[in-house]
Amino acid sequence: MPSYFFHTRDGQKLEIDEEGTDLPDDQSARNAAKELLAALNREKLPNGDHMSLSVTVQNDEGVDIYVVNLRLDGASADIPPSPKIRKPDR
Amino acid sequence: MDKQHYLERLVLKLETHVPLPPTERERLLQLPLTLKRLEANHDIVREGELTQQCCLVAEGLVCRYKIVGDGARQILSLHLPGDIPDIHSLLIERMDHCLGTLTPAVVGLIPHEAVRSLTRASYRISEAFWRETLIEASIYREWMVGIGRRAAPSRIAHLLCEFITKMTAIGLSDGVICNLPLTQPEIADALGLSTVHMNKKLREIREARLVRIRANRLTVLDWKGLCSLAEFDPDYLHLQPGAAKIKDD
Repeated sequence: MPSYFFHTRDGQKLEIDEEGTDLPDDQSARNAAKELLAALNREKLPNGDHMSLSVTVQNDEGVDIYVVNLRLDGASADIPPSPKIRKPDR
Repeated sequence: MDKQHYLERLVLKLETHVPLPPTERERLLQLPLTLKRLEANHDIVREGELTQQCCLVAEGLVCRYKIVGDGARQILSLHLPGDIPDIHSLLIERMDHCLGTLTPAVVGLIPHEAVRSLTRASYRISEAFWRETLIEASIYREWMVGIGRRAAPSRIAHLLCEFITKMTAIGLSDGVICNLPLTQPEIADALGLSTVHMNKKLREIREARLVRIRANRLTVLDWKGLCSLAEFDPDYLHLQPGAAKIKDD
């Protein structure tokens, strides 16, 4: 099975995968990248309201074959105050 | 190796949880055993099958597992020499999961009838087997907490801590170095992680110099650090005081 390398970027922090993982083909590598991104996202909440994660897949010839990004932007909702709701009388 | 040796492993395993009097040890050593040599990744009993015998792990590594709809495998538990992972089949005959080898293995098949007459003759042996299943349930609870709530690095560290602690208890490790014949996809399947995610996090654990893993050999470099990452407290393994021998440094 060919080896694929999954380099990750969390904001400015880049992590190079030097060992790689053996997978049957490019399609499995693309799926694995999406799965990894989702898992990394689940693992860690952003410190503030913004987060940007990405995974780049490189094949064993050193060619980038796939990039997947995830961006999270949180902001206080700018909505009018909700109408007063009367609690039902007991 | 002979049957006697493998039955001694069973006694040793039971005694990591409860001491047995010589008479009961002797009774266990008389159990009839049919040895079977199996390749890696061989099913011993499949989900849905009815079984009339229990399987003692004599050599190698065995696991319980289930396959979900899309073909993904969840490894439910790991079993070392001395374990009888399907002892429950004595009372629940239809398997609700598969039991298979992860490495080449030797298993000893024991007819239910033989185990049943032994447990009827000896309440101590009966309780020892009962205790085994209770401790298994305790290990399941710990795995459930891990898969449900622990982050990947902590899950991986926990599996390593548990594995070497159990291997040490049965005399197959010195508490520092231990044979770890699991592939990375297998570890991932036990932890509910993808292989790529597992590889990445395991690499971080190695780079933090907590362990070294080379050619199926696990060496603990920093036991305290590993336990702390794993939030590992061996109490749930309910080992006898002498059986958990891992030192803090």
